[in-house]
Amino acid sequence: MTSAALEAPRTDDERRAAVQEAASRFYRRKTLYSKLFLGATSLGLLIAFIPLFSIIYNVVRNGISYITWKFLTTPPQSPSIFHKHQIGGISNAIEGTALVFGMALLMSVPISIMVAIALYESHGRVMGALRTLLEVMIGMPSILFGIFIYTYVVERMHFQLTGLAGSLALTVLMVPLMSVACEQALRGVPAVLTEAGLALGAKKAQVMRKIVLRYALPRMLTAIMLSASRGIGETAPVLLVIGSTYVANWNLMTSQTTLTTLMYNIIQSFYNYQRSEVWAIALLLIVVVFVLNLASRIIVARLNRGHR
Amino acid sequence: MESTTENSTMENSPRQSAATVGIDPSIVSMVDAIPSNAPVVPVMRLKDVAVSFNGKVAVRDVTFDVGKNRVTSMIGPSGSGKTTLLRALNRLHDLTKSAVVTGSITLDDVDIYKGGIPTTLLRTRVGMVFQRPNPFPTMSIYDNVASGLRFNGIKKKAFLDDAIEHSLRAAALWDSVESRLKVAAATLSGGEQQRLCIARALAVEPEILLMDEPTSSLDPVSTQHIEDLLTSLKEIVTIVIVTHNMQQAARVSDDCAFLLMGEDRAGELIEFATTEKIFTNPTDKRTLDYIQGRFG
Ligand SMILES: Nc1ncnc2c1ncn2[C@@H]1O[C@H](COP(=O)(O)OP(=O)(O)OP(=O)(O)O)[C@@H](O)[C@H]1O
Ligand SMILES: [Mg+2]
Repeated sequence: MTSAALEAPRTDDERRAAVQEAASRFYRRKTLYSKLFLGATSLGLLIAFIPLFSIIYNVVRNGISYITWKFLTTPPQSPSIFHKHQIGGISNAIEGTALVFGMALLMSVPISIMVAIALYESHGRVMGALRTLLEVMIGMPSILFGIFIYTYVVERMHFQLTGLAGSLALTVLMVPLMSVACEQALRGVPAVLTEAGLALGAKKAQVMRKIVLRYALPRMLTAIMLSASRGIGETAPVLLVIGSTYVANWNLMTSQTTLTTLMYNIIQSFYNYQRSEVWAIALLLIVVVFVLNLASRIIVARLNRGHR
Repeated sequence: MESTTENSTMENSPRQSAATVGIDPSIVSMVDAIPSNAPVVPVMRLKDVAVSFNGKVAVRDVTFDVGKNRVTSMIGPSGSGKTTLLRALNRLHDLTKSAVVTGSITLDDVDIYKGGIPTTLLRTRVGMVFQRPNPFPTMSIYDNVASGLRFNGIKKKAFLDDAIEHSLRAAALWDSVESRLKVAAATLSGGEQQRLCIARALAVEPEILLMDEPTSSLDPVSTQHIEDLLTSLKEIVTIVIVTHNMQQAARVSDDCAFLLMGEDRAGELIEFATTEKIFTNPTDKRTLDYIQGRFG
């Protein structure tokens, strides 16, 4: 500490000198801190990315050789001691995923948007409690949703395992994620825009549709995308209620096999070659999620073009 | 507080009385020198209006008439309840759960709070321009101006095209945007955006236009544009404007309401009179103090 900083400064010049002195000392200390901080951050990043990259590396390395047009378009076969490589394809699981997940999206997206609007519009205690409940559901182990659907749907349908039950399990899983995130997106809409709409004589529903939803759309799409990625990768709740099948039949009322339940089944195979097939399926899932992500980004960029 | 609602003509010339009470003559010279002789027709009447939030009064004792095709300004220090009062006039407080409006506000003798007129219809008749330009960022210039008409069920393209040109001309924006109507509204400058918001409000042909410090975020040139606009707009629409700018109130308004916080920090109407009278020969000592810049 210099004398200027020690005593209470008397003149304006002294005060200025004291502040500048302190600022430059602080600056030197701060640059040291920022270097340390940068170091720590980079280390954290490295720790996070090493497993990520090694997973992706292994998935690609082990999975890519399986992927052929035939693999994607033919149903599975059972290998034998003499034909260990005779595993067929995964067309049943691609169909099953498209069907079960597609149906789940068809149900969960509109429900979530309506729940989000209700949460956004209401100020009451009941809705507050509902929001808390949804947030708690996000943290629940996903197998619970499978158990729930098993108890209330599968048992009622005389223990028939169906694709529809899988869709319902995924819907119950995704609705809390989507609705809470969509409500956040709605809350991000500036109040002045709502007021401007009302001041023009718009009805509440019009303001919601033409102003609030339109403004929040990009963020809602992102939220839906993230929740959907989470849903498509889920195994546990689906596995419990969906059964399995070898044929692609596009029928929600029969058993289905999805990419994730197929992975679970073949990992228990006796044959090495078939067990390693999980890498190929994992690769396919990663690609699907990546494409979904990319598509939503492109749409969001288009929606945002010209404003904000 | 007592408030006067009559718009009597002045006994003394503005400059003389201003000199006697010691008001900056540069402000006085801005007061529209020729008071209009047309009789004042009240279109909106406020009687004992008060607004409170959570039981706490924000503004009270407001009684005055808004004269048809006149510009009424509201002045007063920050927190005196100008915005609060203005938003009561188109029922924008309906959005706020904690807000309660008491007293009576009538539009053409119909009490707007007693169910005489549906709120959405009221708001098409009483439009609003906000302090900060708030065009809809997801819409083009054209769609912004068309929005109010579309909200009210008007879809015909020919009608919209015509109304949009008319409103943009009235807001003195047509010439600079004619060639780029389909461009996003956010690409306009701040001043242009505010004029767009005026055009948007005008498109629904309101009888009254409420403006809350419409020039406070604008540069002097844009401010000038909008002030010029007000003088020509009052031919077609009655204007109520909140402003912090004393010169602006003197320049653009015909009548003036002065609000001030009382001892309990609730705003109240101190004086309402012609702008000429407020700025040259106010009745209340506190009005004089305020326009002389003694507080606020
Ligand atoms: N939504 C609200 N909830 C609670 N109090 C409010 C609300 N809106 C305004 N008030 C209060 O009402 C009083 C008047 O506020 P108002 O915004 O009307 O003042 P103003 O005269 O417009 O001030 P300024 O010139 O700074 O804009 C303030 O004390 C404010 O805190
Ligand atoms: Mg205000």
